[in-house]
Amino acid sequence: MNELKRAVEEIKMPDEMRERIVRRCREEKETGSAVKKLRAKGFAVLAAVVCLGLAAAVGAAGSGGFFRNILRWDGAVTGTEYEGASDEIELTAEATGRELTVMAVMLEPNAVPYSEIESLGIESFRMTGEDGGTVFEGGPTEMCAVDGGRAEIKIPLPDMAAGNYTLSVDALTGGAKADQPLTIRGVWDCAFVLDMD
Amino acid sequence: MDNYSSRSNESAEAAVTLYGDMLFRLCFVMLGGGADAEDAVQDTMLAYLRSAPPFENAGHEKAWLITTAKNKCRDILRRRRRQADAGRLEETAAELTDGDGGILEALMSLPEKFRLVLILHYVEEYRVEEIARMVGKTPSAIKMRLKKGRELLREKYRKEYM
Repeated sequence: MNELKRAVEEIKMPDEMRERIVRRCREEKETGSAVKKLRAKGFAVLAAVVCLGLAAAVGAAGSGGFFRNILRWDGAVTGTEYEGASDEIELTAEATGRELTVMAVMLEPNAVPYSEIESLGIESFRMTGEDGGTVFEGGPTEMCAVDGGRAEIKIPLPDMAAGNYTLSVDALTGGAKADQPLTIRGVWDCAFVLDMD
Repeated sequence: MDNYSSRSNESAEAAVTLYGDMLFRLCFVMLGGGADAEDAVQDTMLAYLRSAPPFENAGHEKAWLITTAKNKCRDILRRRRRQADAGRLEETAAELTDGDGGILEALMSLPEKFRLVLILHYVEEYRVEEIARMVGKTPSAIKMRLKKGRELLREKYRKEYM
């Protein structure tokens, strides 16, 4: 196992990567939102051409997120998702009693795909405690109506001790009448305090 | 005590400086590649800025970062499975070792749950009980994973690289 330790310890973070991460942290702190990952742009060329109403206006999508085809094992397109939405939707969480209220605010409600979305839910989430350990995982939540680019999503909380928690969300679901739900992917971390008073 | 409201750029930069290599190699081994590993480390650091709880000491901070990085890696792995990206791990490990084989390549060919406990125990030198807390399993489950992981690693290494 010493050989394993030596081999793994040879893996070092390249200096330029370290600088990029520090720069993004600075931007996060200064602007409240990190710049888009450069890698994401490379995927934009995969923009979808699937006949889902919500995804129909692919070309009109803003410069942030992008549509991506969902491929089956044989390469056939089976659907569309919207990726890279972290900076396009703001999530905040507040616990009241045994319920967590997640406020989702679409920062550009008139841009595609948000202009088409009538309801919003959380597809999958994780709650972690102060040690970073997972306390509760769940999803999907109920779909909640979107009003003025905002939706208030409720998550019933299980038995949890009072303390500081983080809600991590990696996928939302957008709904519109007569359309298939659209999965909206991003990385959101919201701190919340559970108070037993 | 540190807390979110007072956590500054400097503390995030200090954390990147202090824990960057450790987080990167954990994510690299979990994900098998530099680009995804960078995403995972970045997401971990952003979570640190946005929502890390008050830390009691440096050990608590390090354990929180490891657990959060592990969760971010699992999110990426889940996404990758959906995108039918199988086979990528082995390719990347082979690239890393220039195709001349090695224990790292053997490690990366193991299932993720074994990679994680092996690296935490043998590289980061965490005790079984500490790993159990980070991973959310019992100490006996971690001991089993370590035993099975060692066996698989030995078998893979001997079979393919010796």
